[in-house]
Amino acid sequence: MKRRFKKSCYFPCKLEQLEQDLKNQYFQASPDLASKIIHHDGKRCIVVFIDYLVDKDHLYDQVVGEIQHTPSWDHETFKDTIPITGSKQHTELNPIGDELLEGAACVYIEGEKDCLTFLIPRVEKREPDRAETESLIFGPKVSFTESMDTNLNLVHKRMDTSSLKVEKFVIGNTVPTEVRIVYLEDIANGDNVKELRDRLSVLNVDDVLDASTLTQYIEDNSYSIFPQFITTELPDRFCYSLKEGRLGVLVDKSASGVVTPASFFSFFQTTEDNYTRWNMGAFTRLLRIIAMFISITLTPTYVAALTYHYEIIPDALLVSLGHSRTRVPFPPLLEALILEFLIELIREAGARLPTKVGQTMGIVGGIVIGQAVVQAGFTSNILIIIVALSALASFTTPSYLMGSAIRIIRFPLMIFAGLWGFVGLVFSFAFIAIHLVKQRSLNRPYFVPVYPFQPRDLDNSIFRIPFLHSNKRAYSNKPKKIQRFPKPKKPKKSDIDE
Amino acid sequence: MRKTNCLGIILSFFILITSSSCIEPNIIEELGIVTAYGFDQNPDTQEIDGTVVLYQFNPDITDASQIIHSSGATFDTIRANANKQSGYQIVNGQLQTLIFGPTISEEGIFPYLDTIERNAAVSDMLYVAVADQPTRDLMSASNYEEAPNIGIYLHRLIETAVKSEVIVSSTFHEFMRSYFRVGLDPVVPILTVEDNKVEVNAIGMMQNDVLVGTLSMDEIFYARLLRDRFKEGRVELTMNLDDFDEYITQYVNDPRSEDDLHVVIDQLGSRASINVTDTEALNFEVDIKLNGRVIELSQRINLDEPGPLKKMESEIERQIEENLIEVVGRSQELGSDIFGFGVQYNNATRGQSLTTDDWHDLFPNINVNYNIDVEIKRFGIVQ
Amino acid sequence: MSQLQIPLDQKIKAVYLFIVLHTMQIGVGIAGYPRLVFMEAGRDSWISIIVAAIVLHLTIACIVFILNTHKDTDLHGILTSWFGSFIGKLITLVFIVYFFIMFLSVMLNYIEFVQVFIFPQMSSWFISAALLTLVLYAVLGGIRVAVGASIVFFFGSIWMLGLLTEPIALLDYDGYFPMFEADMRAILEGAKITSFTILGFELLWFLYPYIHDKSKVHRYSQLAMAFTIAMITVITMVSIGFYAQGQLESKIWPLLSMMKIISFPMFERFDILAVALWMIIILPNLILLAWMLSISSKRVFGWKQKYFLYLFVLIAFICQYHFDNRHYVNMFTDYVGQAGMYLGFLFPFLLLPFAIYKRVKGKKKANAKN
Repeated sequence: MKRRFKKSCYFPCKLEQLEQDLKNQYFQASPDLASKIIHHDGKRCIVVFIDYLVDKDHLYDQVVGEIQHTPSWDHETFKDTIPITGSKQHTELNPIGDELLEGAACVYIEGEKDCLTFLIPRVEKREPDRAETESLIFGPKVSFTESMDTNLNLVHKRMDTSSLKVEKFVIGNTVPTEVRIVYLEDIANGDNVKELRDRLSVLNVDDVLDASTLTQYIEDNSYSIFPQFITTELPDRFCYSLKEGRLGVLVDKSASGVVTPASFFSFFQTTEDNYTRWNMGAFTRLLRIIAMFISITLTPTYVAALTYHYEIIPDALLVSLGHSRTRVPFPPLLEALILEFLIELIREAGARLPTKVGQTMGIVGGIVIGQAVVQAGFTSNILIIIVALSALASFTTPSYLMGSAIRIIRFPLMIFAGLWGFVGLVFSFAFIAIHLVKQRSLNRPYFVPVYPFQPRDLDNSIFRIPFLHSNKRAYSNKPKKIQRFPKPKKPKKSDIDE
Repeated sequence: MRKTNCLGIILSFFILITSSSCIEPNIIEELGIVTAYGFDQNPDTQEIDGTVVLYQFNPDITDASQIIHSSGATFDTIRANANKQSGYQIVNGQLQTLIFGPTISEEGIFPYLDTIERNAAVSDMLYVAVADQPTRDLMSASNYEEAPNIGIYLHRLIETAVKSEVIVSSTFHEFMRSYFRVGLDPVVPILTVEDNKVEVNAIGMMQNDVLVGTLSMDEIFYARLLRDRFKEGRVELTMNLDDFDEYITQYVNDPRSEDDLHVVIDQLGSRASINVTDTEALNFEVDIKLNGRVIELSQRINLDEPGPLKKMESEIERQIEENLIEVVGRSQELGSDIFGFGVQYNNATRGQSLTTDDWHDLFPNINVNYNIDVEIKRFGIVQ
Repeated sequence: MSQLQIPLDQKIKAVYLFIVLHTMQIGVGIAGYPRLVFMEAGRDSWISIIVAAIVLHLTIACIVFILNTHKDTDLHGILTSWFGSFIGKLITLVFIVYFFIMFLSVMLNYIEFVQVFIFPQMSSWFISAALLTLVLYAVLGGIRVAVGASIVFFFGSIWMLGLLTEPIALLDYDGYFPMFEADMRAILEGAKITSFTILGFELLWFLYPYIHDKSKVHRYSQLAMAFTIAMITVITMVSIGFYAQGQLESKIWPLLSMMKIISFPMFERFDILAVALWMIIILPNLILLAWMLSISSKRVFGWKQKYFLYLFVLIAFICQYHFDNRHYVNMFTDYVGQAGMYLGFLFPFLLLPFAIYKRVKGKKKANAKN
């Protein structure tokens, strides 16, 4: 990347010479290196920049315009008159090239011993928009954008406190990318911060594509199917987690923030649970966990029951099940696999297609194929219900990654159930349970509050209780300050009519 | 290092999967799922004739029910022989009813129950019943309402009767428990065919596993009264109209009988306790508390007044006692203690191990005293 | 050697002892226990359970007393410091053999459940391979995962106790009378049978140094014992009321047979699932035993714990292959019971005088210094 120049001190030189050298030696004769020469009192000054990297308005109003209007030409005056903050003086070509790449304009008065650069980058960014993947019905709907500035702004606006600490890292050899750790200094656990800092600083990779890729580099167990860091596109969720004592990571050019340490159950929470009243929130939270359980057990149980354990089928269902099964040419396992595969196909096709076509696709796939499949005797109609139900249940998971993990995990479970019935099913559940216990997120246990058993954290993970009563932060994040606010005084006990 | 270990385990396990011995699947549509068995002793051979009611699923025929007749010396041979006549693998996991024909029930049914107890696949909640005619005829009765097959129908028939507290429950588990309990004999429902439809028409009193007598549907009430407790039972009693002459507000001409007063009591709750008063002389005392409401009276009697109500209650007490004495007396003659006197006797005589045979010798000699207390709580929305 | 240096993040809270010791005690034995105790003590089995419970609580008190004499070491460390390295190693080795036979007996019993109740054709080596895979996977995560898995499996299976309400509704209360018929000998025989079932608490000997807050060890171990006792009392009493005498005596696994009557609207026969789910009742046993075997072997022989783990799993697999027969299952179960009588119940009381001596001596020393 770095090119060596023969001369250690390059300046002074001719304007044309500078332009030529930059073009040939640094930019391989790029056609986009533009320049403008300004004359004044017999002095000549050149402004060099890369056409598409600088903000043209700034360039003409504040750089070229100011130079033209300044009576005395020297670098010190320029520095004063040009109202751009990021100005630097360079004596070598190499750093000038680097600056130009970042969107700077380089100003050089002929004969001077050094060269000025002004940072006026053009940044294409979209305005904060409604969240797409984690949509909320109730509560703030703004989402992160691809710009670090906007994201930091969104976070800071939500947490206007001096204890919000931001640490900067640059990761990537080929394409250095800015990564920020964000946390509340007086709440977040010091060990967690140190651990995250260590992981980021030892990271030696060529490039970080996105926040979600970064998590895959720094996760505890990269072989696991379960995500270990929460990836969210909602600033309010990000900030809520920080207030709970977690750490946030923002990556430049990525529209999602990373939250860590995460527990298995935190993937089933949304901030909406907090915005709605506590009983509704508790209900939906429980609903999601039950839905997850249904989603992974229903089809495997069907497969196990129809392949081995016909005893468990209630006699009211036995006839209709047996009847619809007779026309199916496959064993139950294959039948279920085919249908689950079909559902995944519809889902994937719907996700890849443009929205409008995607909707049509969903209708065609869901209704037309579904009906045809049953009529053709490809699957039994009860299985259609079961598969649709478990697909539906898997979509209730707020985290897209966790939802996908649950959908994929069904396939091995089905195979185990189809090969060894309930024994296989219980075996795979035991395996998953051990895996979850074994798992860690940022060296904190993943399966909290079940293990390590934290009954006090249940209201923060599985249930929800009125906020006045849950005045403590989750123990499992080991925050510095456990108490959110002092416990409210109990009202005096009074009789019914007093 | 640890991660590679995990991966190694997973990999080695998948190798296991591929090389493992697969187990024989029981795919539902390939099974002949038995819901009921009927057994008869063949008079000519030493074998048992079995009637097997099963589901066999077929894409074209909506009626999945099948009946197969086969014979063999043992339960399992009957199943295996039935399988010779079927393209489906016959399995017992959904068995719901077991019916024994008269020829077997008079000899003893216990030998045929062993395999049911031994086989883990068979439920303990199936009903054991006895037919008063060969089960082959009983199970070919073609009217079984909306039930998918006769086996399910029989199960529902008995279940409904048990739930409405008409008969005493006799699931396989309860049958075995009574059989093994010293001083208590099992009871079974007795099925018969009427107009090509099976119905429960009596319960059978067993001595151990041998059917020795029957109780009619009216008498079942008294057996249940001592053996079980009522929560919402029902009883109909017929009284002498003359006893209530003074209370009848308005005499209506009753076409059934001029001298009888019919009383129906429902929402009947009962609690009975059998106590041993003298173990040597075999004296027992039975305390029964009954309460219920009058739902039907064939003549208008003003029950709101204490006089007629008291009279009615004491009349009911007298009637119940009479009937109890008759029913218990008959069971003593037959030597079948379906009420559990022996259990209380066994409890009262500590230190001496009573056997079932001992008790069957003692049972005919016991004397029972009844204390019955009837309370009529309500009498509907008319006076 | 005698003092163990255990990093803080590997230590566990004492409250987990409640679940860990309880899950160690409840395993395959409980399924057949009601029949065995009933055959000895009859309707008065509960007296036998009380007798066994008293002995059990005393034993636990004794073990904790001895362990408290030395902070931060296990049985091996205590024996080594009292009697020298040779005897320490020898007795730990005896415990290793004992726990290994226990491991085998649990595994073989579960294999038999599966083959009798669900899959008669399922090959034994396959079930044992599946179990050993899980054991290996869990124990490779260390003590934290071994304990964690026990706790998750405990929560995953304890709800089944609630299903006993269905048999309880069918209880025949006449079955409990007449009471107090069994003689002293029968009661003691019953207590002996009970003591076989509640073995497994010996793990405390080896778990102790890993407990974070030692002051609560005694409380939670006793609570665990009380919970186990309560559980087996309930199960036994329900079995006695649910079955008639002859019936109970003929059921090899009354608890599993009792599950036969449990049904849900969409799930007619719970017993099938219950037997499969029994896997997660016995897995804590296997996992904790395998952990103990590997860590103690490391303490005795000094190689890597990991190698011992692989070794034991391999030996267990081979042994299972050779002893795949009801006869051996019974034999192993009996061996474990007999050995448990001495190693579990008698052994702590043998050590007690030494512990008292050490404490008195320790106090004298402390006094002398002052």
